[in-house]
Amino acid sequence: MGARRSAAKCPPGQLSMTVLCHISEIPVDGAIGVEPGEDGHDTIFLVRRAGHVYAYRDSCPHWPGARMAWRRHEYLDADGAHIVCHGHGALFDIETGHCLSGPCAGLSLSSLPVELTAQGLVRLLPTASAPLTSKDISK
Amino acid sequence: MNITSLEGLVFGVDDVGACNEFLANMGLDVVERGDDGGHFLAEDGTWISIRPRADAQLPAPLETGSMLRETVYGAADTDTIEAVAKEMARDREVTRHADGSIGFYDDLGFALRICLATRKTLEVPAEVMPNIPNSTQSRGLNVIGVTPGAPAARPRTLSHVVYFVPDVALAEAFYTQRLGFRCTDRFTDVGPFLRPAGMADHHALFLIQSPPHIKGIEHFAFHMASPSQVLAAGTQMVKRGFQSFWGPGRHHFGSNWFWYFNCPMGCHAEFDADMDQHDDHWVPRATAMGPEASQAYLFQFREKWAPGGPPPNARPAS
Ligand code: FES
Ligand SMILES: [Fe+2]
Repeated sequence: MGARRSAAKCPPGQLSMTVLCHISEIPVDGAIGVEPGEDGHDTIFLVRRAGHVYAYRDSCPHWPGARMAWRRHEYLDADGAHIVCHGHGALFDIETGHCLSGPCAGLSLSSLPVELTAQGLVRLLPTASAPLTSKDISK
Repeated sequence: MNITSLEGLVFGVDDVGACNEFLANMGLDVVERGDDGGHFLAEDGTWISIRPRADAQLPAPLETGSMLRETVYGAADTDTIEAVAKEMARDREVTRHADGSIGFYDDLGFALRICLATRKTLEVPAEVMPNIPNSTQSRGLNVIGVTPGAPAARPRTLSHVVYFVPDVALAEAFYTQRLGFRCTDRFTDVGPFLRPAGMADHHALFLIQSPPHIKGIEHFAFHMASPSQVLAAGTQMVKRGFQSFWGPGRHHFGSNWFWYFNCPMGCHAEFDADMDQHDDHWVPRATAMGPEASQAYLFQFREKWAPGGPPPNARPAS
């Protein structure tokens, strides 16, 4: 485990335009957890897939507030096909955050709008209520 | 029905490597660890086995795909095993295994096995004892409670398992009427805490009323020797990147200290300590489940710091 990645710190509740990480920090077809606030643990995770970055709150719709990885950055299943909540094994679609099976089947993860800057920074966009608008990225 | 221990749990999993990694990091003794499974022991010999989901030797899975494949209880003697076999044979198939154990399914489809109990009695290490002032109880002169840099202690014994069940009344009737379990306490809208008649622990099994599509395991727990060891083991897990789910804290029912972690077997894994013990004189309590009823207190991990000295930006006095 390396040092905790604290993306540019900002006060809780003011996550707008926060830089979450550099694209190179997310493994190709992998995921990482990031901590934009002062929570002492990751609260958002990012999945890199087919030229997109998808951002979700690390909170399972089964028991909101329950974190999903089994170990830091371990948000995907063994073959990287789905997001998994390891609490009780719920599977989620990577692109939509929709729960495909498990206790919260039919519910969705809470997605966050992110953009990739020309410098390769993954930034959280201000309108947290807007639909997912991950930008195209070049691998 | 003299069932005296919760002996072991068998999982059929999707990611053997991740499960092995997790259990080794809980501090269990690694007996076997490879691509086709793993076998892990607590100090007293109780265990968890990891197998690939497709392993044909495992009992049939629940239709929900829960990764728990078998719950194994220990009996005091072969007479008990025979008594259970006879009782079960009244209305279900009983499989006899070469080691003398018997296998069958409960009324909801959870696979069970009864074997001869192997659980060993353990010494209590001196440093685990609290020094209680003005009492005869202490860990002894010059025995220190905290050894800097010492690895967290091993789990002592498998403590309990918790099932999501679609029909709590049916499940409770099976365990109490057919296997002699006792209800110790109950969350009225959730389900009962159960202990086998030959065990004093407040619960070896807890049942949670749930929708049918999530039938399966909610969590399992290992007993640590003391609350302090729960904190040490959990802290070590957090430092290694494992994800705390709930705790540390202390439950009301059972009085056990707890700290739960997410686990790659698609359930939670708990360290607990100092659970109440009961016999048949105990009168079960019942209350509605909620934050107050669920725990006496709850804390959250934070990184270490070292308060002290002058304020951080203090200028030297001139
Ligand atoms: S908490 Fe995520 S599946 Fe239950
Ligand atoms: Fe528990």
